[in-house]
Amino acid sequence: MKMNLVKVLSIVVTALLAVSLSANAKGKKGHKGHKGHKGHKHKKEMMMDKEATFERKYGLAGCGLGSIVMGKDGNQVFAATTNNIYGIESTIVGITFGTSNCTDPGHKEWAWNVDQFVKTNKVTLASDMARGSGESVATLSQLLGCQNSEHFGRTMKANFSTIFPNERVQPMQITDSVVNVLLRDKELSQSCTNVDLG
Amino acid sequence: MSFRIQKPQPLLGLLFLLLNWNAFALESRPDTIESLAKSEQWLFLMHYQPSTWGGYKGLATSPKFYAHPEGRTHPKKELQALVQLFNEAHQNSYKVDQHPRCRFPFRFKWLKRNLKGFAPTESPANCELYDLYIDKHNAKSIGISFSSYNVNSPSSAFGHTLIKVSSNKNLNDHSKKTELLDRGINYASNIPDGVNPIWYAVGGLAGFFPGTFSSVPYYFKVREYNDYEARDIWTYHLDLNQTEVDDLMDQLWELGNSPYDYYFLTENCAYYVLRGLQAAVPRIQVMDKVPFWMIPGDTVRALAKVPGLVKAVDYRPSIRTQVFARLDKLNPDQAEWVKDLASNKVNTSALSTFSESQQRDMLDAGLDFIELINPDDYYEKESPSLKAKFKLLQLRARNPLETLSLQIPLPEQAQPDRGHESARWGLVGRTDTLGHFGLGFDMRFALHDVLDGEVGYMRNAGVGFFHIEGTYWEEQNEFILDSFAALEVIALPAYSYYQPNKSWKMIFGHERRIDENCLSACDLFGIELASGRTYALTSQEDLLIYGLITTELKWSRHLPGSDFLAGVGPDVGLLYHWSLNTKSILQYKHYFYLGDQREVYRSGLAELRSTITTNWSLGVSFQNNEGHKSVNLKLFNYF
Repeated sequence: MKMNLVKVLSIVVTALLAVSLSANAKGKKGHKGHKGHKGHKHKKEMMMDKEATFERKYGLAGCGLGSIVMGKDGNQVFAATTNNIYGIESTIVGITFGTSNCTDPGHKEWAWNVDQFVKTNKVTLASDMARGSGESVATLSQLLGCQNSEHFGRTMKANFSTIFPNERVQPMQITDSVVNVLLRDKELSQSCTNVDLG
Repeated sequence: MSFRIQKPQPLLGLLFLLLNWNAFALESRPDTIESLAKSEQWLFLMHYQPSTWGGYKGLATSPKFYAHPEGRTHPKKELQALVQLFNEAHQNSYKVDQHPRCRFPFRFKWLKRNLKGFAPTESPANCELYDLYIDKHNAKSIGISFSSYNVNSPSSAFGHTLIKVSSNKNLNDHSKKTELLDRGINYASNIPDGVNPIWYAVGGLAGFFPGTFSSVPYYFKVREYNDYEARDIWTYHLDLNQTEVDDLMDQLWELGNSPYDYYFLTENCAYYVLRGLQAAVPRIQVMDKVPFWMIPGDTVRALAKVPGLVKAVDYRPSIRTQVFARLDKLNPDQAEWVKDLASNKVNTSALSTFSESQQRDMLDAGLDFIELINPDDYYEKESPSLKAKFKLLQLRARNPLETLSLQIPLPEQAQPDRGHESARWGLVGRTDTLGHFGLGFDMRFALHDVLDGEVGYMRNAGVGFFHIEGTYWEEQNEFILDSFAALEVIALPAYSYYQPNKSWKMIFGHERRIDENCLSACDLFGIELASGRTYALTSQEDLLIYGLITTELKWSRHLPGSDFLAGVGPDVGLLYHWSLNTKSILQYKHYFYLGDQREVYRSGLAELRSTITTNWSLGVSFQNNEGHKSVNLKLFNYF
């Protein structure tokens, strides 16, 4: 009787260890991403913002590649394990590329590209903007068509608190602020040729 | 699990050549439907494989991939139907994207180049998606990106390869476009959400999850591998001309329009990357440079073996590598301040005691450090670490100094193509205390253990697939299967403030054991799991000590009493790296079984192994399993 108890105990220990290891194997990624859907809050914050926000005819997750890769829920960039990312990314080369998910063809490509970039690179972009330089800032500068990425980087740094007012700032807000900041800058407002607000 | 032959047999090819010698003598190249249908190129570009029952079978599972309903199994019918499809295209009206030239652009080009008299009447093709695909990629150069081994994730323990498509012609010409804006064409299995790792491994082996191609922005892959999973990325830039680049893009487009059966060991990302490459660019004969099981590391080794193909190798350090490069520049006081960030403490007043440039270096290191240890912040909306990082960001933005650019040299010893081959066999000379002599053999299909030469691989970690050990004992004239591990994983990363790593081991499979309870030896089947910590005893991290709690759950017919055995106990050891090529381990495991008549099982091991050349190594070990002692001399060859 006593021996059976010990055996059951060892089995339980093994099972617990297996579970903890498999959780470890998943790289702690789990499903924490689904915690609470507070994402809607940012819309209100945006409305109250005095700065102009740029109207998009699409939701950030509305169309194209980004929605397929990242899922409809904005907080899932890497929430999924690698496998899950592949799971979402189930469409084939031909179709992943396009506007197949896009219900409204009236969007501006540059804004869409910038939104997607900001969304995936948000963490790195914040560090690079605070530093005033770095690969992600240079890439963003290219996406916006700016000619002088060093000046772009310095300007982002100088306006860091406008672009990142808090740690909960959402990608679309970041894009909006970046565009607002560069429109106020004499040189950038001229040289960032991709920014087309028409 | 089925192992299949993936490449046409050279002997058959030779036979074919001899039988068709006349045809070849008359024409310099095959150019009739008859001969083309048998040509290696056709079989390749359609991804046919010799089938188990004779004949061929296409890897693509979707009927849309083929022109003929029986095209998957009839290369010749398929070619005939395809030619007919193109020839009659002008008589039909197609919906957008449905014109055969939209669906099969590479086959169309290939027929034009190779089939005599192939000149279908021109007809307009409306290929919106294809045009978009070509336009968006604007492919000018191609690289193969390999993200390094990560034993903590079942899907990436063997590394991963993808095709990097750049619109920059020259490697470092990022004046127009940075590398982040390149694209990655990725082949991966589609695993439904929430699949557990064991089902993932089993299903992946058996081909239950279909694989598909997708194209994602390269920045997505960089953030995923470099930052989120902290893996280095290696890119092998290929020396291809523009026609070859275009052909590859067209071939990938065709491949991308069908799902495939995904097999972990054989038909995986590595396999399709190489296959697509050879199908599009026949001069690159890479498929004969890989074993019939294939893992991502084999891809880069195969590419490196083709003379002149790889024009440059690029290294993109992971966030971990970057953090340590930044920490290296700090003095102990500065480093101490960064350490505190692990508990999300940003000590502003302590920071202000440093000079402005020192503060900059601390903040730069801190930003990367906090990102490294909190990968989940990528999707978390609120967390203490996000708050701490935000404080750092504000401090950094207020510091006017420019960041010191990080110069991280390419670590040649980690370059994946320089490592040993992925499979290994070995001969073992064995003698026990009774003076018996045994000849052992050792076979492992993949990949690496902690004592194998480290060049091109990971340190303090190993992952093994299908590892079989057996011994022929001369005196008894008996062959004994000592062990068969379907999967063995060992991860002994040093635990530190900066990296609070967990160490763990897992062995799943069979083991033969002789102890008090199994006098005539028991064949045990089951799993061993261990978890604990490893500490580095030297600053170079060449001497490590580990302590794990190990458990086992096993089944055997040979046990007295119950058929099940469950044990728990310590697993401790010392690992010493004499050099990249020479390593030794001292290990002691002690299992307590408090059930039935069983008491303990103790096993000790001392082993030294040295890599002589990349693919040969020599080892000596002393083993003591419950008093059954043996000395073993080992010779390994990686292939």
